[in-house]
Amino acid sequence: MAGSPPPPLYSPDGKFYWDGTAWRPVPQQPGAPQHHGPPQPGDHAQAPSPPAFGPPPGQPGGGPWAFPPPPAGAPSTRSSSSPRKRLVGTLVAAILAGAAVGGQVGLTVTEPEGSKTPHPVPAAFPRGDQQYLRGVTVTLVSDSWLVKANSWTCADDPDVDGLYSGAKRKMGCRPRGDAEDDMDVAIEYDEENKVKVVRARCRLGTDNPVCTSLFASMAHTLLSSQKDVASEGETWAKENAGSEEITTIGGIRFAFNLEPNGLEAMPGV
Amino acid sequence: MTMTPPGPPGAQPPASPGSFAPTSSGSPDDGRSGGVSRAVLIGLGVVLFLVAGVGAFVAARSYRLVQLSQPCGSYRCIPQLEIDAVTEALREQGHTCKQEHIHIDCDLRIGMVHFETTLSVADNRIHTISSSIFRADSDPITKTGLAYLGWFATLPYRDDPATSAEIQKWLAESVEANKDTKATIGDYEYVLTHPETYEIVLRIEGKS
Repeated sequence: MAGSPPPPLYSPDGKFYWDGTAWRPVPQQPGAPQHHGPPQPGDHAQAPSPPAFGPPPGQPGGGPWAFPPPPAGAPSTRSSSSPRKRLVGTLVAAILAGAAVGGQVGLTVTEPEGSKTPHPVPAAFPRGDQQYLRGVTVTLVSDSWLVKANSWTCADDPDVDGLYSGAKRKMGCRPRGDAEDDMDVAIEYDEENKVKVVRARCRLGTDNPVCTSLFASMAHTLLSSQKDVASEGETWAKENAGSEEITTIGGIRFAFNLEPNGLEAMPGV
Repeated sequence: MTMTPPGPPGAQPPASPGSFAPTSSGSPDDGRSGGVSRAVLIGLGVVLFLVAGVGAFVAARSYRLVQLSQPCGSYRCIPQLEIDAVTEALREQGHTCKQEHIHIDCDLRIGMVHFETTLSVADNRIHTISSSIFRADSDPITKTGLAYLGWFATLPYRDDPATSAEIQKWLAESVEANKDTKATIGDYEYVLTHPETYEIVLRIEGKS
C-alpha cells in the first residue's frame, strides 16, 4: 500500500538494521532496555516492529536460541548449600527411600503364618447322619409295628412339598374300618433306613386310653434298637400323653402337642 | 527494486548446539576430584539404600508373619486358611455348602434344629463368619450347638490352643448368660446375639 514504508530489516542481534542500501547501527535510547534481538512490540517509538523471519542471507545460524555463556565470576543460580549439607541430604534420602521400598516389599510379599486347613471338628459337632432317627427304618414302623401287629394299612403319599424336615418321601398309615379317621401315623424319610420324622395323631380326645396306647407303643417301637431306653420312652409317653411335654431319649426328640393330640418324633441334638 | 542486504557487520557464526565453553577458572585436578567425590557419594547412597531396604524388609516381614489377620480387599481376613478346606471339612460332616457370589452358605437340618453358616470371602480368604442355630420351641443350646459355634469361633486361632480354649470358655459363658454379647479378641470382633430366643447368631469379623 502506497505511503506505508516497508519495515526495516534487523540483524539477528538487533544491533543493526538495513536501511535499503546499507546496515546501520540501531541508535541506543538512554535508559531503554537492551535487546538481544529484534525490537519487540511496544518499541515502535524506536523502530517499526519487523516481521518474523530468519537471519539475513549469508549469515549462518544465529538467532535467539544462541545464548552467550555467562560471564566469568557471575554468581551461580544453583543452591548455595554447602557440600556437607548436600552429602547429608543425599544419604538421608537414600536411607528413607531404601526403607520405604524394602518395607513395602516386605509387607507385600509376606503373608502371616497359619495352617491352610481348619482344626478337626469336635466329637459333638453336628453330623449329617444325625438327621435320621437312630436305628429306625420304614419297615420297622410301617410293616412290623402298624401293618403286622395292628392291621393298619400304609401307602406312599406323593405330596412332599413343604415338609419342614426336607424329606424326599412320605408314607401315611391308618387303621382299618371305622377307626380310619380317628388315628394316623406319618413317616417322612429319604430312604428305607433314613427316617427323619414319625408323627402320630389321635382324634379321640387327650385322655383317651387308645391314644395313650398308640403313643406309648410308638415310643417303644422307635427306641426298640436301644434296649436300655426303650422302656423309659414308653413310660414317659404314657405319663405325658395329653400334654405338650418335650423330651429327648436315646437321641430322639419326642414332643407332644394338643392340636391335634399327637406325638412327634425327630432326631434330637 | 529490492536490494538483498549483505551480512551485517560483526556477525559471528553461532555456537553449535550442545557445545560448552570451558570455564575460565579452576584446574584439571578439580574436575577429577569432583568426579571421584560424586562416584563415592553415589556408591555410598546405593549402599545405604540397600542396607535400609534390607533392614526394612526384614522388619516388615517379621511384623507380617505374626499378624493375626491379613488385608483382603477392604477387609481383614483369616490368614492362610483355605476356603475349600473349610467347606470340605463341613461336607465330610454331612453339611451342604453352596457358593453364592462372594458368600458360601453351609447348612444342616437335624430334626427341629437348623445349623447354618455363611462364610464371606474376599481374595480367596474368609473375612466374616456368621453362624446361626435355629431351634424350635426355644430349646436350650446343647453341647452339639456349642460345638458347632465353637468350631467356627476358633477358626482364626486354630493354631493357638490357649486362645481357642479362652474363646470356648467365653462362648459357653455367654450362651449360659442368655444375653447379647460383644467381644474383641485379637484382630476379630465376636458378636453373639439372641441366645435366648429361637435363633442364636455368632458373627466373627476381622477388624483392622
